Amino acid sequence: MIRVAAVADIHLGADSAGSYRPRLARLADHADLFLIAGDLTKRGTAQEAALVADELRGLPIPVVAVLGNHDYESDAEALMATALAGAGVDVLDGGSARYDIRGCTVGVAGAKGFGGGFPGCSGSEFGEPEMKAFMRHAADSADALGEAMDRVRDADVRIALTHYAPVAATLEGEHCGIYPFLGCYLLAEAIDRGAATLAVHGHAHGGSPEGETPGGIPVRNVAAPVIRRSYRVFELDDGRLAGR
Amino acid sequence: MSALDPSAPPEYLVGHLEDALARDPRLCEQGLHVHIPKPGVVEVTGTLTSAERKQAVARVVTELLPGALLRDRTTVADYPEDGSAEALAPEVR
Repeated sequence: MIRVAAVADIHLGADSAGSYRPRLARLADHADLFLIAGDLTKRGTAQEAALVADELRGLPIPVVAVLGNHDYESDAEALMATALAGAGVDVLDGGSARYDIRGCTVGVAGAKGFGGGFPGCSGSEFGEPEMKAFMRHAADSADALGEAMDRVRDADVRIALTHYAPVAATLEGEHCGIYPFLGCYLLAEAIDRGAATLAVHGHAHGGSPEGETPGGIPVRNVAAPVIRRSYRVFELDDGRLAGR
Repeated sequence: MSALDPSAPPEYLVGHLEDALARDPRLCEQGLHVHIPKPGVVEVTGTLTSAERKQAVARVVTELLPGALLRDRTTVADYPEDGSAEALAPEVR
């Protein structure tokens, strides 16, 4: 059995410097791998990049992250990825990472994802160039996640890590009118095709903690305001979420 | 757009069919809704601008899901001229 800790939307800024690291003091007692599903910062500035890198530097277990929309706000996402990598965090943007944990191979496929909506209330690449670009970005991010899933297909445990939601079920609690800005069904399709063991996302602060894809893959919303703790731990046993 | 996998979960088939109906140049209809009540059956609802587009619904669905049974519940718009006015001005005493 392996244990995976996960959180999203910690939104660190100058006003909260030094506040998160103490909440990770027993991380290695609880988990073998730490996932961060985006929105590590408040505004994605260079200063915040350095701050969050310091908070995560030298953790005793592997840390893997995707960036979220807040981390793009100041057009410094590349700098942020570099700062996090320098702190030992594997930052995925359509990429994959593999970890050997007590003889079990864990593959993580990560992409930010995007909005777009869900069957019955989704957008299309039609009309204005802005709308086409919006939906093209959603499709490109889902494609990148799918390709990353393919690269970890042979792993014993396969985790899909996104910031945006792959299903509507974990958005319940948010106003349904904003669902198309919170996630996209194309991500779920990539997760199902890749036969993921678990899918983890954030972004929906007012959403619900648990859902599943149409193919039956468990989906967990780990946005900090949803899980209301510094991280949530999942036990993965025999290639499945324990207890399922 | 290439043909869909008919064994895929219906949620994905609905998403891709609605996307195709919105984007296909024969239709460009963004107000159509797709429902798959059971495997192999596609139900389309909504209002179309012309009878030609009703035929295009069948073509698009058949191209993407060959062999599927189409239940076309769409209607072709027929909006008569009606000059009756809604009075918004304050009532004159």
